[in-house]
Amino acid sequence: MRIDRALWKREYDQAKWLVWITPLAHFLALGGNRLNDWYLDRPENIQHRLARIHDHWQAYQYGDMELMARISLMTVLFVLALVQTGAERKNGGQEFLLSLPCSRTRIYWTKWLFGIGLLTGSLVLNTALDMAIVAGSPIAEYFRLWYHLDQFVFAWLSLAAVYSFFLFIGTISGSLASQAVFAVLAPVLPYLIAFLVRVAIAIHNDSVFRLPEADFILLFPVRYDYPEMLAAGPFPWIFMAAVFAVASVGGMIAYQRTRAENNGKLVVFPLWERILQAGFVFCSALVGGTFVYAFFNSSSVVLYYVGLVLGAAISAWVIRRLLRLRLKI
Amino acid sequence: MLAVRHLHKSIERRPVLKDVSFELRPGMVAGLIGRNGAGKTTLLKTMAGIYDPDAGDVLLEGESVHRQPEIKREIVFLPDNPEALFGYTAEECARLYALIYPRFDRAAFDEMIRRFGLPANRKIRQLSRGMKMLASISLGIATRASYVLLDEPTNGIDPIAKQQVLTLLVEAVSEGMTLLIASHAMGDLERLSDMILMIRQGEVETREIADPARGEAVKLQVVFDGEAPAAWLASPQVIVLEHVGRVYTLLVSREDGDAKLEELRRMRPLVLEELPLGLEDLFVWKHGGRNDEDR
Repeated sequence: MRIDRALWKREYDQAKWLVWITPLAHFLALGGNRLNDWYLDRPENIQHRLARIHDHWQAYQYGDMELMARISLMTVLFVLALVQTGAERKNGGQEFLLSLPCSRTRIYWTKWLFGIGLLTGSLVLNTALDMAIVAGSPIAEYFRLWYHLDQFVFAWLSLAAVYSFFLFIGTISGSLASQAVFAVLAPVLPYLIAFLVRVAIAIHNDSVFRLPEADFILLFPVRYDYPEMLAAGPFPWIFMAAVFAVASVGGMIAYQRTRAENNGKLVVFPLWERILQAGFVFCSALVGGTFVYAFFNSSSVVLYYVGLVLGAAISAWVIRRLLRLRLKI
Repeated sequence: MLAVRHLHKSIERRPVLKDVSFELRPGMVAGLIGRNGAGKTTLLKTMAGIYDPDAGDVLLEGESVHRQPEIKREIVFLPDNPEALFGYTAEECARLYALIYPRFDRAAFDEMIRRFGLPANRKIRQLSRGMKMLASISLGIATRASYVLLDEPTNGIDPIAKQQVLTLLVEAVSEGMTLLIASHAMGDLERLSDMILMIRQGEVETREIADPARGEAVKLQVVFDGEAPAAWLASPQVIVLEHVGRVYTLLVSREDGDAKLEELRRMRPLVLEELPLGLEDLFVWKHGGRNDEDR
C-alpha cells in the first residue's frame, strides 16, 4: 500500500547513513579482517599463520571474527534504535507519524522490520562474502558450510533480540538520552542486583561472597565465541528467542499506547515511572549500604543499614527531581 | 462533519481539556483562541490522533479518528514549526505527501511554491520561518484533505509572509476545505473565521463570529464629568481596556443584567459612546482583564 511505502521511505530517509554503515562495519569486522589475514598480509606472515593451523576451529579463530562482527552490528543497531525512537521524540518525527492516516501498530512494525531487514541483509551479504573469502583463501581446506550457517543463525537470533530490546526501551523512554542510558543499564541490571544482594547476604552471614556469573548480563550470547556457543547448549537460544518475542510484542503494545505528551521525560508511561522510581531507590539503597559498610572497614552491620537508609533517602529525592525533568535531548 | 465529543485530556495530572464538545461543518473556518498554555495545541493534537484522549472521542463522519486512524486521510495537522520535515526539500516533501494522501495535488503544490518563490530543492531547515510555514501550509492544502488543523500559522513571521499565508488559507476555504486555526492573531481570525472556539480553564466555548459577545457585554468609550468613579470602575462587571487622559475604553458585562450600565448613565458622563465589540475585546472580557492566573 502507498502508506507503507511512505512509512518505509520515512524510516530510510532518517537512517539512510546507517543503511550503508551497517554492512560496511560488518564487513570490516568479518570479511575485511579475514581478507587482511589471508590475502593482503605479507606472504611470510600468511605462511607462518597457516603453519599453526591444524583444524577448522583454529582456521576460524574460534569464532573471534564473528564475535567482533556481532559487537559491531550491535553498536550500529543500538544507534539505529536511538534514531528510530528517541531522536524522533525530539525532532517532531514521532508527532508527524502519529498524525498520519495509519495505525500505530503499523508504524511500529515498519520500524521494527526496517531494523530486522537491515540486520538480515547485512548478515546475508557478509556471510556470503566471508564464505567466498574463506573458500578462496589458503585455509580453504578447512571451509565448513555448517559453521557459517551456525554463525549466521546465532548472530541473527541474538542481534534481532538485542535490537528488539533496544527498540522496546525506546518505546517506553521519553527521550534519546534516557533511552541510551536505560538500554545500556538494563542488560547489566540483573547482574548488578544479584551482586548487591549477595553482598547483603554475605554481610549478614559473615561469609565471603563471590561474584555471580557474568551470564546474568542479558546480552551475554552476543559475546560468546564459537566454543562457548557450542558448550552453552540450548539455553542461550531459548533465552534469546524469548527476549526477541517479548521485546518485539512489548514494543508494539507500548508504541500503540504511547503518550506523546510525555516526550522529554525519562519515561512516557506512569507505570514505568513508578517501576523506575522503586528500582532506583532499591538499587541505590543497596549501593549505599555496601559502600558505607566497606568504607568503614566492614566493622559493623549497623553501618550497612545506615548506608542503606541514606542511599534510599538521597535516591528518592534525586529520582523525584529527575522524573520532573523534561530533557532537551 | 468533524465532531469533538466530550473530550477529556490531562497532562501530568493537570486537566487540560474538560468535556470539550463542538462540531466543524464542511467548508467552515473556525478560530481557536485562548491564553498561552490554555490547551489549544493539546486540543489540535488530540483531534489529529497524536495524543490519546482520556475520555471522549473525535469523530469524522461518525467514525473515531483514534480507533480508525485510516480516516485521517481527510485530516491534516500542521504544527507551528514543521521540524519533522526539516531534512527534506519541498520537492521531497511533495513526494512523501503524495504517498500518504491519495488526493495530493502535485500540480497545485508546484504552483503554490512557484507563486511564493519557495526554493524546491533547498532543505526546509534552511528556509526562513515564513517560508517554512508557507511550505508546510502549501503541503497541507495540496493534500486536498477535507479538514486542516493549523497551529499558530502566522506566529513569528513577517507581515508579507503573513499576508501570503492568509492568501493561501482563503484559497483553501474557497476550495471547500474546513480549517481550524489556533492563533493569537485576533484580527486575522476575525476576518477569516465563521466561528470562534475559546478555550479557557480546559473548557471550550463556541461563538459565532457575527456576534461574538451575544449581547452579553458592551464596549463603551466614556469621558466622566469630573473624578472617575473608582469603585464603579473596580467592580467585577467592568473591565478598563484603555485609559488615556480622561477617556476610558470599557467593557461592561451584561450577564447579570443592565444594572451597571444604568449606574453609569446616572453618573451623566460627558461622553458615552458604544463601540463595536471585537474578538480581542471578547477575549479580554472572558479572561477577566489582565488576570494572569486565568488560563
